Amino acid sequence: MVDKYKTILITIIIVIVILVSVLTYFKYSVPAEYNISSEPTIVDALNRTVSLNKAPERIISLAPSITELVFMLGQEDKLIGVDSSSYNSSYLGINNYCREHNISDVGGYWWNTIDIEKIISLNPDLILADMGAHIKLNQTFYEYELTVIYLHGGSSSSIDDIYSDIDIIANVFDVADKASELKSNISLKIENAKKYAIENCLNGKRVLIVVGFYNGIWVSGEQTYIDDLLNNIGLDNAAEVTGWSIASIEDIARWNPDVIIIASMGIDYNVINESGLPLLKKPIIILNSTETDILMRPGPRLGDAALLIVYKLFNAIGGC
Amino acid sequence: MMLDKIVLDNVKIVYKKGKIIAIKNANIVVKKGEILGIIGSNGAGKTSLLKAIAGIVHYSGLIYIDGYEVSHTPHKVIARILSYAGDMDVPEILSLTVLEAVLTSRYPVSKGFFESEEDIKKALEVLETLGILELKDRRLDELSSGELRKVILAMALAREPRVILLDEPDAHLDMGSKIVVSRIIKELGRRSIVIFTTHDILFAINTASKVVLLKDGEIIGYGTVDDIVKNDLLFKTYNARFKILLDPDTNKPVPIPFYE
Amino acid sequence: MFRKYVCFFTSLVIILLLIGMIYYVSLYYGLNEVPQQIMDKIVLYRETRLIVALLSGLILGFTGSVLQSSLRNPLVDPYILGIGGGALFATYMYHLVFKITNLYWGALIASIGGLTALALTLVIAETIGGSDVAYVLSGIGVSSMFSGLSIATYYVIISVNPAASYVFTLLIGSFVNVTPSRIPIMIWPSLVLVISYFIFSKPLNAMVIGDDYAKQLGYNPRFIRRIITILSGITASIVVMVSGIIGFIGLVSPHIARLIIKSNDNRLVIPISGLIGSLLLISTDNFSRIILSSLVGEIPVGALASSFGSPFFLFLLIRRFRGRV
Repeated sequence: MVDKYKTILITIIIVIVILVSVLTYFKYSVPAEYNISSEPTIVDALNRTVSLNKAPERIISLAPSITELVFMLGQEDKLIGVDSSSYNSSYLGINNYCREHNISDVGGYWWNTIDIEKIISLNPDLILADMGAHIKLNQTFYEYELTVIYLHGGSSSSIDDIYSDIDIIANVFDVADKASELKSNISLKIENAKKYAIENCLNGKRVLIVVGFYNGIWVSGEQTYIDDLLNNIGLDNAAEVTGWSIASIEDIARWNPDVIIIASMGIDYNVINESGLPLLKKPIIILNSTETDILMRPGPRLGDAALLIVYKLFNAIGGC
Repeated sequence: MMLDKIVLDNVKIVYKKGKIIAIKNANIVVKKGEILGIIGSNGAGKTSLLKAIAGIVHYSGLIYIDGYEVSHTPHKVIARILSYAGDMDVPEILSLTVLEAVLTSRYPVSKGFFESEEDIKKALEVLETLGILELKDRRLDELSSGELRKVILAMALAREPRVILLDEPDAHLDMGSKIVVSRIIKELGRRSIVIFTTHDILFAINTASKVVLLKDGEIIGYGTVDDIVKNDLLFKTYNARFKILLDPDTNKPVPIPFYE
Repeated sequence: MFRKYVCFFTSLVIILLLIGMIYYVSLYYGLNEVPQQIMDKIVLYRETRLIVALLSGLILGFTGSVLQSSLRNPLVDPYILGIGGGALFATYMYHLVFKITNLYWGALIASIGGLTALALTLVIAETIGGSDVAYVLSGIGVSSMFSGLSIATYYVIISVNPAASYVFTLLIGSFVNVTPSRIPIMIWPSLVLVISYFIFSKPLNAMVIGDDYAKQLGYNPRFIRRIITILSGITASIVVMVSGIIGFIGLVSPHIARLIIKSNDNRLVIPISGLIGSLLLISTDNFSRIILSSLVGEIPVGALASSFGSPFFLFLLIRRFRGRV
């Protein structure tokens, strides 16, 4: 009996000691709002209110879609650092631009491969991060006194999310007009895509977008930005699941898509054959890496993605 | 204060919530100067009895080591006056050397975090007495079973306890080593109380001053060697028949088993 | 006999020197043309990383060796108690239930998960007898259960919350993301462990020989085992909470220590094991930070530690056991 009490007593002591240190840890919690005294203040994708002391002149982008937005809004001259994927992206000549203008590669895209030390040494005024991939770095940025704004980026689940990102960046640099222009461009392209679809009797077609073959067939389901895009073009998303999801070949057969688009990096015909998709006897469109990028980056190229889809569809199943 | 005696009063040992009764009712008195040998067939309860005296196993009844009632005395106090040496299951890779193991035996009596000069001296002495000094730096998992037995014995003696409990100290030993061990036990018996168990009747008879015969948890014989070595008792204990001869030189009874 | 003390002190000095050297060098290496106020920040970042790596290694090496002796099994490490799987499962469940997650709650939930798994292991082990084997079996059962559940939950998460695929990276061991506020939370457990070393190393020497043997020596092996399990589980859970799941260190540091000092005496093995853990982690963390980050980006520290530590470990193994085991 003495044993049991001794055990309990010692456990309590250990727990108290640990609790003391845990509470010290929580003392450093990041507050929801910090220092909103000075203008301008921006509300980011996570609903945080961030105050910038001045218009930022040294910025770091941590995601390719964000980098593309920065370029499209004409603010690339302020970049001093980008993530690895951006650093090697050929769209808009970003990779060349980075090398010519001494923009550093800070690692990433995933949070645990980002070089924090490099970011610190670059002394940025502002970091633009992706709320899905980089949320884990929130406290790190806070404790090392780095200002960060989170965008929807790869977590965008609708076209509005992407527009919201455009607005946020526009607010930072006070280029609302450029933002409007960009947004109307995108809207226009999507409208055009929709018209094209109607003209060529493609509207209402059931499209299945396959994004990967890892341990199964990954598809883009409902509540993704791709789903939103398809709906806005007047097409039907064949995937009857939510989010990015694995589907079996039986599910896909049941959904009965009219056409299957494969948007994945580095896929060869063997993989596709093994998945069983050809057995469904539906037209399969395989996008090359550039096209995949266009579709899979929820950024300024959304309009291009819309057009890409309808053109490819026309090529595959023809018109009226 | 010299240790006078060990008393077992109505001791009962059960396992698995009463399903297995190891010892039904033991009443034993061992006085200073006596060496008690416990013999019985496998599973008779010999080890349980020894473990109870050592305080390692739960029992009902009373066990007194001098003034101390074992189950009501803290283990640390008992450890200073008693040592129990049973079988050892040595883990590979993690095992200590012989000398280190013997030194652990001195933990109850050694002060300080590390060993003192005296600890090491006594440990080496014990190894020497048992003739295994050359094994001192060998790991326990590298020893033969006979060598291990001697090490176990050394560990029991290292802190010079007043009560020494040995579970089958002669197991795995060749004849010569058995005799050495028997001699050592008899020597120890002059200063300490020694209780041992064994399968070998001859070993028991030639080493102990008093003998307990155990069968299925019951004491069916308890007395001096002359009292015990009787045909009927031995038959009950072992379910084997013996011829009892008289050794002309020592006048001691010598049981010889029938192998037919 | 005295050879082991000689080996112990030599190794101790060498390891401490190595740690000291690596610490100092990595703090100030490559800081030439950086303005003052940034330099302070960078040094702060490096120092934080080093200290957390050091303490994590210390805790893992320590608890690894203590558990191996207490459970009489050379193949266990702190995760045998189920804390890794438990933390993972709890974290995944948290991300499954809540779409927007808070980091601090995340950390707290991870440790609660780990401790729950630990408690489960403990209770089951004690119920089936509290022996060394009981703990190992119970631990394996609990770990497997939670690992399996974690993987299943991950797939559920992905389908429900498309943006949450990053969760699989959450508990991968890494020091890239450590912040100064985490240092106090690691210091207390380390202190507790150091104190416990003085209390438990001698009983552990006895327990390795056997529970019965330890009992007649005056110790209470079941009680000690219980306390050690609780202590190791809690401190290792804190490492998981701060740095993620780092494999290898807890398992192999004790063995490297044993092979270097050529002894199994826990009074010597335990501290050296802790220091080897520290050394391994700060070396690999530095390697990742200084060399790899400019080449391929940082690589999680657990993988690196295994890659470097294993050849060294195998070399020691062959040298010691050639022809035996």
